[in-house]
Amino acid sequence: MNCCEFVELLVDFSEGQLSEDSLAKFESHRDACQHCAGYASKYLETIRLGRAACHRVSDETPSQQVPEQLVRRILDAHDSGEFLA
Amino acid sequence: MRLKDDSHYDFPVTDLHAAGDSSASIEAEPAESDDAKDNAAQSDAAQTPNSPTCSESSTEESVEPTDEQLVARVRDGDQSACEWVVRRYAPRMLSTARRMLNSEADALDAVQDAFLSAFRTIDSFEGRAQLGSWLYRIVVNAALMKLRRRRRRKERSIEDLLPTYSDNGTLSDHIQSWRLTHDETIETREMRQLVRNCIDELPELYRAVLLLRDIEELSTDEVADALELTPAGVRTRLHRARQALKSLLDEHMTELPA
Repeated sequence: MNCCEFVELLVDFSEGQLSEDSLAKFESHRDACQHCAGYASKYLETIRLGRAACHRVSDETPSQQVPEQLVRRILDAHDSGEFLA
Repeated sequence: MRLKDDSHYDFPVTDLHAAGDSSASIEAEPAESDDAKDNAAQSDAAQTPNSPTCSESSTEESVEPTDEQLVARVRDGDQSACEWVVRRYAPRMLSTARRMLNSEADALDAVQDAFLSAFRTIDSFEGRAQLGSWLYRIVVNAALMKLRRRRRRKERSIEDLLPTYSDNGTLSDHIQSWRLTHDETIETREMRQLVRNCIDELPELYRAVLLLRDIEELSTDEVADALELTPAGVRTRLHRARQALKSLLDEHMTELPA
């Protein structure tokens, strides 16, 4: 297995979908190749960081509750029949 | 529009097509179970001080109506029922829109669009899915449409962000580690924003796949249905999107050589 083949297996590896044989080859290459070990580590961390950063976005909103203005906007638009347009 | 299983989906097909973007439609279930999300949403609503029971429009209503009752009343044009639905489900829908859009204004617009679409097509809701799941799919669609219509300013070419290899297939990627740990990155608001900004720089289709698969945690088949791709196409784009996002993060997070 070369680096290119290793990297292409990352998506299956990340979802636990590698066969036993493929996983053994994948791990063998990773143990022998510093570049690929580092690349795989960052690839998996990228998934975790993206998920965590997006899921924490609500923490940064001044109010956790839905703005009253939004509720009124929706109801007014619905009431006026704007939604039929 | 492909319905995988009519016994599970009550998606308002026509309104989304009428909105002018059929390829953005989604029929997928959220990763979390319907019951769990609906219960959470109803629990949130119970704690909401602005629940319609406290508002002028429905002071006589002392018991929370069920979703089934609300759907019937919305169909009859009962405005107070619409308010119940909005207050019950807007928190969860706004959270979804915020995760996907990285813009408070766009998230608010997407939630408004989603509710108006839902009220317009309430007759197509057959009650086989949970109301919360139906609304979830609508807001995801509204967010996808927002993403498509957003004026792109700093989108990067995917090809420039993929790894390169030497002739014998050896990876040319540099091996410097990132200067911050996961916890250090995620605990800093500025760094969380940086990560979200990097996601925003991904080309549209790659960003949509990554948002639905990695952030919303829909299954590959669900993302394929939502974006009208094959499952293999989703996996290819997801892999490239992750690689590209990694490269973008590299630009900000790689330790300088000593």
